[in-house]
Amino acid sequence: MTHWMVLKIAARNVFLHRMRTLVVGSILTFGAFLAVLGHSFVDGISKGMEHSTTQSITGDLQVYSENAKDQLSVFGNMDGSPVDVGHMPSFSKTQKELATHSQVASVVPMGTSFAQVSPGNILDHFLEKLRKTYKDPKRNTVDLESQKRRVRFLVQEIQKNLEGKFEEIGILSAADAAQAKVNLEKVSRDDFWNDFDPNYEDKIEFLANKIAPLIFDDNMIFFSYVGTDPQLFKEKFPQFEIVKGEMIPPGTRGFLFHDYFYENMVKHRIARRLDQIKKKMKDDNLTIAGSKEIQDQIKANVEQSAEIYLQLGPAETETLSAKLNTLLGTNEKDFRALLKNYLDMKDDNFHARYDFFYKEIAPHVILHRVQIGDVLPLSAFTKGGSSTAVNIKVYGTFRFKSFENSPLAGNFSLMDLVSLRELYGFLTDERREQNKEIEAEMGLSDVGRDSIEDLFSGAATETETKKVAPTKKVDLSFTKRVVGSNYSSEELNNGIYLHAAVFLKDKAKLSSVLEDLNEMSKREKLGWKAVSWQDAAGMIGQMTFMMKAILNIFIGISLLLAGFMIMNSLLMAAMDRKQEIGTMRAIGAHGQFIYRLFFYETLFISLLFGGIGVILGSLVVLLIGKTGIPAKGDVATFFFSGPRLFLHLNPSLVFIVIAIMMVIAILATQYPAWKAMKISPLQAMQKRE
Amino acid sequence: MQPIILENVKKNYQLDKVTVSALKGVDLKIDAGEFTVIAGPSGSGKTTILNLIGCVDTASEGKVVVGGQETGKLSEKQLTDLRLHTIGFIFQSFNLIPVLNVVDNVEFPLLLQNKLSPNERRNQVMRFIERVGLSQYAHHRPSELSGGQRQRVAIARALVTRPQIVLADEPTANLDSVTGQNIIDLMKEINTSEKTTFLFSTHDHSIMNQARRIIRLHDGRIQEKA
Repeated sequence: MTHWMVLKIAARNVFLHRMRTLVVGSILTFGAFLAVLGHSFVDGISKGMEHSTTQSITGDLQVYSENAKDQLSVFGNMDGSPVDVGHMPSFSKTQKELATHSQVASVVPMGTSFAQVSPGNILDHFLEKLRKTYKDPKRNTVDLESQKRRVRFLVQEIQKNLEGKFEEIGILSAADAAQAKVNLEKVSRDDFWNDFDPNYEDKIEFLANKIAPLIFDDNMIFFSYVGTDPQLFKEKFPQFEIVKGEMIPPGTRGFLFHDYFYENMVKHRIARRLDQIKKKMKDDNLTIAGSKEIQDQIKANVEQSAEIYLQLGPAETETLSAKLNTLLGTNEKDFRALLKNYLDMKDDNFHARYDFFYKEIAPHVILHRVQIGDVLPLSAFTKGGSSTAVNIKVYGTFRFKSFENSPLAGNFSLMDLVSLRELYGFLTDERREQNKEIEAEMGLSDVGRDSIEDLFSGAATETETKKVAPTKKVDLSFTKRVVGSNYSSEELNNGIYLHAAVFLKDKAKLSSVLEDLNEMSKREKLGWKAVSWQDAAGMIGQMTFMMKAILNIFIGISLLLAGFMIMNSLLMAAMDRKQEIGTMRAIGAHGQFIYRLFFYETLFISLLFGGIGVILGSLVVLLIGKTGIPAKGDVATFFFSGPRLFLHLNPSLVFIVIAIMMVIAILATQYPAWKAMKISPLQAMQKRE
Repeated sequence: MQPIILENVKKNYQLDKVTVSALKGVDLKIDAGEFTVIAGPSGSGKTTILNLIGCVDTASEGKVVVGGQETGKLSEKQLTDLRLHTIGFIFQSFNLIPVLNVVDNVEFPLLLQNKLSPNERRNQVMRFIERVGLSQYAHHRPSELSGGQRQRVAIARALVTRPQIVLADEPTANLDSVTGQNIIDLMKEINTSEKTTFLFSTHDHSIMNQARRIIRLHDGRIQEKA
């Protein structure tokens, strides 16, 4: 019965001291609001990340060698270097072992690593084409001559480009610059071209080795890839879809770029920047005048205008020159200056010039440095530290439905596991058989190349030879074999794998399955260990954990503040109400009663204002949760793992927040209530008006 | 049985480094149903005696027996219960609970006792509010009442548990003389009808003279008895 009276007194005290109640209350409301909204938000992000990670690479859990040197981190280390997780000898064996657990639905073999590719610059591109034409018995002379003119025009352009600038280019030593001048001068002379046909291999080789590098085009593409069973991968990651080109045919070696990567890293740099600027203007409402970032991109386009003019032939240059002068309303004779003027875009002409680019310029330039159908000379470093190279055909690009813009899910390109084994330094069946044959052939071509170098340049530097050697070596030796080469499903399944994605029938049982599997592997000495997708994702997997930690620190601080304010105000209340409390004690109230009085008062404030915060937070979550928060910009897309973040209200969150409010009430009450309990009934006798 | 017995009671206070003797050996017995005044100048020990009898303070020496229990031997909890069930307090500055209305204030000690059913409790409360003539103010807050009315509420609160003893420390000191007289009249009337033992302190001579027994205190000792 006394509870009712205590509650009544407590409630009235709350209303009597309105100012204090409001201040403490608003902090509590804010804390509870932040807790509900923030956690729903982070949970949304966490779910998005889980989805985009598990559905693009990790599966529900990953298994890998228990003797691994590093912990598995499919996205690589923080510094971008790949992790060494060792390897497991047979995929099919592990697959059978895992299948004995009733919860395991499927297993996909994998190996993730980094590779680099140097697709060659524009001169390489034309030289390669020219070489093919020479080797084609059905070639027509007109086409051949036009190609030769094209190459010669490009060489002239390169020379023009470098005129008077040799000293500015820091990467060349004085001796190298002098040699480059000599080389350029040599290819500009007619006698170099007059006897081109009979000596085409040597001439092309000279141009490729001595002139092409003078474009100084930093052309290396670095990327992560996952080597897997492409067919199985497509089946088990149902959001996988082909965007450009086609799927790697079953049993065939092949490579697929992630479309996001292809459009961002492989695309012609000027085109890519134009795309990015357009996106920023549309999505983020930025203007060229108002954004330093966009201005820098425009500047970079102007500076790299060579990426356009070096790719244009004489006729194309002339047509485009006329069209550009019409577009700009000028009469500029110097094409390079004209192009620079064009690329120096402003807010009022950006869209017209963007459209012009795709209509008039893009058809004449190589829009992607690697084209679908090209053969990629992939190089990677084996565990031993030596560089290996594999030539592999690019069949197309892929993406994952619903998170096509997520750089997280766009992190990986894909190839067959057999090629990965080779890149990783393991012998494949095919390679084993071919080895002798190839070695013999390689010996021959090595001699050939050396002789060409001796012939044309006595002063070939060591670095140049090294840089060019691996790519060319493969080019000359394996191309015809690796393209379209096949493997059997036995070879794929019985061979080594680095790690494997495991899908469960019921995701909710992840932690118990994880325990079961690791126990099983230990008991039966299977040699692998299982980790959750979060662990397998490394830093990325910890990201939501960190976001939650930061959020909780914020909430914690605001609640701690509220707690201290409640405590302080209760202490003041106890001192203010000495006589009242003393009177109650004198009349016969026990200390316990006074304690309850204070506790209820705090509880009342906490629950009332905490409740308001929870309700407000829930309302916001429900309202914006339905429509979703649009992801503006790449950072948001990254965190949201998609174009929109949908929020869901977790009912347990509401209870947890309310429980925390009660804990704060209890903690904040202890000291003031204890102080109040100690107030003597003698205080009632104090005489004052 | 005498509800209040004091035997050679001494009380010392520590004020900084000086020990002050508030009571220097008091012997006192009060019979049931008495209407007694403790009189004396300020600092004579009136309040100290009331505090000791009211079980809100303990004696330094001697024996205080209230309602048959020796207070020096009781725990804090037992003292609280003794106050709750045996003693009613009327304070000089009324000491009502400001956030509660008249009914709630009067009901407060009954709730603490938790002996009566809600219905009995309500009846008892209304009876005493009527007894002090505040029926029409039953739902007013203390701040909405005059000083005299507040003290009437305090009297109702002190009496509602039907205590053996009612202690009042200068109950009229904050009231004008007419109102003070009315309060004393009310107390006397209840003393007669309810047979409650009243013990109160005052230094107002006109009120003093209405008591049936006057205990005069001077410098911590009882001087004479009426």
